[in-house]
Amino acid sequence: MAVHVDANIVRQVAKLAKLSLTDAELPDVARDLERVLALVAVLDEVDVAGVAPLVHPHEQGLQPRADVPHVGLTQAQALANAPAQDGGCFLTPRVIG
Amino acid sequence: MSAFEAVIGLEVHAQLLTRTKIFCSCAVTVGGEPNTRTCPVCLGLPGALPVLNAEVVRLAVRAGLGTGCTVQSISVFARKNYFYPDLPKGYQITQAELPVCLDGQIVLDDGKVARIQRIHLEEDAGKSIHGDSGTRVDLNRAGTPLVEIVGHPDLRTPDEAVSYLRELRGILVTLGVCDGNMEEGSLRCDANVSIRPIGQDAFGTRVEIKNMNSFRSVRDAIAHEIGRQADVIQDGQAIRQETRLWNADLARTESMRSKEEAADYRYFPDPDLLPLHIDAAWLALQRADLPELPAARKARYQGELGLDARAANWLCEEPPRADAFDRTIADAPELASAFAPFLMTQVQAQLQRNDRPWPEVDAAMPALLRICRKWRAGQLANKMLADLLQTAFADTAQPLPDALAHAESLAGAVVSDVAALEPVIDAVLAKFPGEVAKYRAGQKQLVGFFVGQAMRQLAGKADAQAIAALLADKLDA
Repeated sequence: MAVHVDANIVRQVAKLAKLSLTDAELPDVARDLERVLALVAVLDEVDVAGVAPLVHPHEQGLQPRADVPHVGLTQAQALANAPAQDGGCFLTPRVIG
Repeated sequence: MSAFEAVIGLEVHAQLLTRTKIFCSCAVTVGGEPNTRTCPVCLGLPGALPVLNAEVVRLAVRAGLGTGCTVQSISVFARKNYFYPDLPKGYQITQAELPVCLDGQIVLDDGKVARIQRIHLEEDAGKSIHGDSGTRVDLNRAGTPLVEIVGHPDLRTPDEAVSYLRELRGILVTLGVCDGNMEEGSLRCDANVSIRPIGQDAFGTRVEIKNMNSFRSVRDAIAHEIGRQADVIQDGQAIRQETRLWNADLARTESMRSKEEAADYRYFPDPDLLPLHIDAAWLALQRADLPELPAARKARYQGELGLDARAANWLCEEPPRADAFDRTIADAPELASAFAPFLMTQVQAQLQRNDRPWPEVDAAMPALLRICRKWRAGQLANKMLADLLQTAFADTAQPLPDALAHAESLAGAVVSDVAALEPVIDAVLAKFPGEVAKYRAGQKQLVGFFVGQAMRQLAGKADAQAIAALLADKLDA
């Protein structure tokens, strides 16, 4: 089943992914996304009636760890890659709300 | 407004009482210098992988069992994608389609059952401090384990919402799942509120209210929001689906974001985490390990100890208080039905008057039981009791049990022997011949007046029952 991807969908997806695309780029990306979706749509042809959803390809479950604290990074190490910092905090541009 | 009914559902986030974060071994503690409890996992550094904390699973399962949920043999962690500075990975690990617990319930004070839809595990975000020069981010809290308990929209009034939250909090605290501290944010509550004409089945447009950090603010915020929605509809306008924040200072809800701005979170299973399997044998062990829950405790208080519903509810609201009560009355169950209201009224009033915290009382309960016993036995008159408590609770120089013992020694003995009471009673009867005549003419309720007059003469330090008995002898002779 072919899925139609228009410029508005691409804009919305780009916005959610924090990607900036120019209007000129939209048609190419739309076409690429349509091809990806068409590829995956092959799976629609498989009859899955009565088949339980597969939550993970591996059969084993999580192996939880014990609740024992370990020393992590120092404040200086934690902030080492921060473009800006202030008073031991990461400093980001002002966020409203 | 009477033409509408409200439809309310609560979403409660409870911070789990673990030592470490949900997916890494950084310590979970409050306070301290910013960004001193982080590691590559909770900082979201590339290549770092989450490893689930076993204690988180145990506590979530306890929460589920305590609320009558079905614990799922397989649950799956998912990524909730959004961008915010205090969420370093760009997604929150939570559970979406397959949460750890489903289909529970909470029984409210009045016996009404409110259903729980699901309980899922998730990680908390960091803390943002907004300022003029930018936003400061502290990631100590990032990765703190939470359960979110999602209720069905079964509640109809602000009081029902508070009753639900109190009961849920009591369960979580009793189970050691969460410390229940709403002011510090370890128990947080959001409310979905809509209204509809009475008799209509379809739900109205719902509004989500956030930022309520006490039972009082939950009640006030929901009551305010119901009134606001009724006003909007009566003005002929439509309710906007939106998120509103409760402003306790201004006592109103304020718009935060509308549905059009709501994010599309693009949930998908987190490929870094395998499914969580919960084994039936282990689950049976967890079930066997549950302590007495608040509902059972309330029933025991009322059924076995003869407490009224109000006192039983009040004790069970704070599990440590009920624990201390149980320890204290273990050897004196016959006093329980007097001791509980004594704590709830006289003792609580003294705490409030002197601005002292409740846990002091938990430690002083044996001394308080001793005093209550004397009072019930007539060895302390009402006035003497009130003075004793006032003296003890105002005394901050020594621990409360010592202050109570000291005030007890100052209280003296109640006057109850006939030789001391008789002249006082004779004088009272001689002073009020008119009342005596009325009493004898049938106004028997005047006995209270005579007791009061005699008590006044004795500075409140007399045994009221002994006075009443003597009065009856004299007046009814």
